[in-house]
Amino acid sequence: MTTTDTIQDLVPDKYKYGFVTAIDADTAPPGLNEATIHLISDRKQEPDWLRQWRLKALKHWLTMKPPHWAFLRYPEIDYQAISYYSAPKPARKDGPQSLDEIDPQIRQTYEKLGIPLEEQKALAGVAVDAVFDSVSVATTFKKKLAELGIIFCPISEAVRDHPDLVRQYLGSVVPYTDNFYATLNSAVFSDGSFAYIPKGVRCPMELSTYFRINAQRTGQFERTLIVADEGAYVSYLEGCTAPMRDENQLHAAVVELVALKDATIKYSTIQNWYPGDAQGKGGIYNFVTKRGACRGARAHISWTQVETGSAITWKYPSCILQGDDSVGEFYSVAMTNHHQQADTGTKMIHIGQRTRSTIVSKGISGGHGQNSYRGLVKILPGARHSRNYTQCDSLLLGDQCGAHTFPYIEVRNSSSRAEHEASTSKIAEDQLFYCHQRGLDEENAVALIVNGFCREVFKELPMEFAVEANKLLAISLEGSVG
Amino acid sequence: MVAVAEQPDLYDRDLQRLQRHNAPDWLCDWRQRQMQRFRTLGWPTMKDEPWRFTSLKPVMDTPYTCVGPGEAHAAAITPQALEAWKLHQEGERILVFVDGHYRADLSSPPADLPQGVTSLAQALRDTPEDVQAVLRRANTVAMDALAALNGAFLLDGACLQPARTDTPPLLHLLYLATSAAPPRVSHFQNLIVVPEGGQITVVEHDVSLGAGRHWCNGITHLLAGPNSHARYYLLEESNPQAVNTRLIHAHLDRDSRVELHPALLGGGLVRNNIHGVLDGEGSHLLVNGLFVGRGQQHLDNHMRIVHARPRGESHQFYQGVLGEEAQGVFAGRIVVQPGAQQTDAKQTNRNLLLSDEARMNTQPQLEIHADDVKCTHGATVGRLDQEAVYYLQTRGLPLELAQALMTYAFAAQGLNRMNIAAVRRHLMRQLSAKLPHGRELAQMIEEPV
Repeated sequence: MTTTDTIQDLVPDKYKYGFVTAIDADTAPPGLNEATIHLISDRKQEPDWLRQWRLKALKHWLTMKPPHWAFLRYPEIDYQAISYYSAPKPARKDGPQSLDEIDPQIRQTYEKLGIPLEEQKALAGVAVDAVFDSVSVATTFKKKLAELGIIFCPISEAVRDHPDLVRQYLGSVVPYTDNFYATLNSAVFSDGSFAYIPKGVRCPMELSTYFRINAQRTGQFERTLIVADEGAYVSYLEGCTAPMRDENQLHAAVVELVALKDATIKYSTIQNWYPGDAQGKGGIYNFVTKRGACRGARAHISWTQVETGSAITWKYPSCILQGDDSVGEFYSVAMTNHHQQADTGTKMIHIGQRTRSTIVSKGISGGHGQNSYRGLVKILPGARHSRNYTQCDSLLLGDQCGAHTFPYIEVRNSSSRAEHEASTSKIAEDQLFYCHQRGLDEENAVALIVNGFCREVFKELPMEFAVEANKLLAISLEGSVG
Repeated sequence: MVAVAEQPDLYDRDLQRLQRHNAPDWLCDWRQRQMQRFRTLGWPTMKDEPWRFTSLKPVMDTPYTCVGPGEAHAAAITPQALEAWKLHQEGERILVFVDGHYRADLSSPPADLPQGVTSLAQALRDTPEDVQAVLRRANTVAMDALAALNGAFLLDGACLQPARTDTPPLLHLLYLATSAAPPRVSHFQNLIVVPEGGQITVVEHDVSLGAGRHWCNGITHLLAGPNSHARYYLLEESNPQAVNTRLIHAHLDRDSRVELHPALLGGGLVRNNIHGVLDGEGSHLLVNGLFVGRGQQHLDNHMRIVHARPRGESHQFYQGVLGEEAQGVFAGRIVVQPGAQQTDAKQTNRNLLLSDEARMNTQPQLEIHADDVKCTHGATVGRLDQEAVYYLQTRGLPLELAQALMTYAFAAQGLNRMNIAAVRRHLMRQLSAKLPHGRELAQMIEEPV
């Protein structure tokens, strides 16, 4: 068997997390108009300002056209055929008070996913705000966090309990006019997480939300808002799995991060949504707008992502480096297989003086996968003495796949430096040969080399995630063995 | 795209007037079709991805007229005046064009020109079918609106189809643009066909005769036959008012080797498109770009290299120096098509910013659809190494001269990849003249003849 054949065999495989939980969902009829907004706002008992904000976004969205610049191919989405609200029916009117009140089936689902929702799992030090479709079902560790003044709750709850904070920051990083998908999200966002870390507080545990898309034809539109006040520190984990589906599902989330003076936000994502089957049928369409603003001096935002799922990924976690000496980082591993397509990258906008950004992007393509890195580094005239370093590497695991790099570098002053490097190659025969020589078989050799290829990014992940990321990649690579 | 509304009557009138000159039916048809295409495509705007950083507004708003050969011949130029632009290289043959029209009286005598080297207008008269065949072969790549406009005014240019010889001459195409009112545009095409195993060296040289506005919209098709070797230099040295838009299309056959050396030193608004297609196994393409801007120059380098066959090799180097309020753009894409295995492609864009008002936008891009490839690209934007400048100062060089020397050294990396000494010498002089302490600098770096 030739090496190419073997690699083809290694490239996967089945979606391990493909299952559907049959629970009653309170779902809105398909379609999007003002009535839909009122329905969502009514269900969620939202204040009027939020209702108006949603309506403004909808009005603007109706004037927009879906973007076509990305290196992606997919059929037009009929936005009127999608249902924009879905909530599991509450067991009691006042909602669950403890784990016992949670629908056992949902709990089973979490267990299958390995979410550490229960007490013994909490030893891992993870507070989980689990979003099951659109409404947050349970939040753990809330009390412990509350003692430190940290607010970590579903955003719908935050709208009720901390309206001033939400109103101040919602849409301040990603305005409702930002882009087609962000505007759609602003109009119909269902739920998501809100975190506020007060001045000088170091969040003692990793905050984590597991998103799952469950009900059929229900686009999920999370909205996440994380605010780190002066000198605060928080590390946030986002992990995604979704059940097996035949129909394409739309996901258009918005994540906003605000880091004030001396604050640090570390945002890590593992995305493993249903990628479609081997023929490219089905799979999630993932159009996400993620952006962080370093508002004060020495603020620090770091994005780490491992993207192995979704039929289509359209995602550019960005940093606006406003404060002097602020730092933006982006570490990414994106893997595309079968007929998956990913167009992902970052934007680093240098505004403050002596701002620094680092971009490390690793793309792996197999099967018929198309993987693109698209990034913007913009250094404005006032961002004197700024630095950027970008490295994009692509690994090709088959002769039908594609790897593309589209960086944009715009420098407007002479005291700054921007560097960009990119390479594309396949696994070298000599590397494989060396591994064979040391007694590794084909599969393990490929896994080892790919692992080494991604190492730079994995080491940025929190430990729990790094383990999961390795596992995910192993599943993707080892196929039958995994 | 903006509908072609700005100068429609003008271009139509020009086309009507010029259609009378020389025209087999197919050519009239060709021009009409290209004009139609230009209308359909419309002017590119900054909303179109390939024109993100370059606005053609100044061109759209100016009534540039296209003149016929008669007006071009009226310009009084003496052969002595040409001496300043000559390269003075042994074997140099010069073909002079004024506003895009061939001037036999200023060019090397026909007897000195190799067989198959003539003006496009002449070739259209003598062997129109042959030209038509070459145009068909050449027009296989996607052409933008400006190329369509050029096609609508296909009148003259150089037609170089020399036979294979052991001592190929250096063909110097000198394009002179006059400053007239209303300002003039020249749409010329250079058709270069290199036979199997042949060699050719072409230096295209754009200069202004006055300080006024003019627009050059030129296309060069370079069709390199199997196992041939072609070198093509573009020296852009027009005045700061000039607009220069350009397409250089190189088509490489099996085992051919093509070098393209575009050097953009002059011009106000310059857009240079390079489209290279490696359409034969084992072909080799070198693109060695240099752009040096100051004042308010806008220099846009656009490049697309397509690897269509296996074992192709392409290297692209672009060195950019931007001072004062100059703006530079580099957008280069390497496309490796499915099946183009064992491709080796390397792209490097390095830029030096000399002032805070200067601006650089760079987009090195890779689009790869084959797995057994080695493709890399790199881009940097930065300023002079302060420590190196300080070192030179400690050796007694004044600050400005030290900076100029460092800047020159940076640009010289591009010059060193050019293997015709006369061109290197010429560019060295042009470059040092653009830097402070030009004369002292020239003395320090003058290459022995």
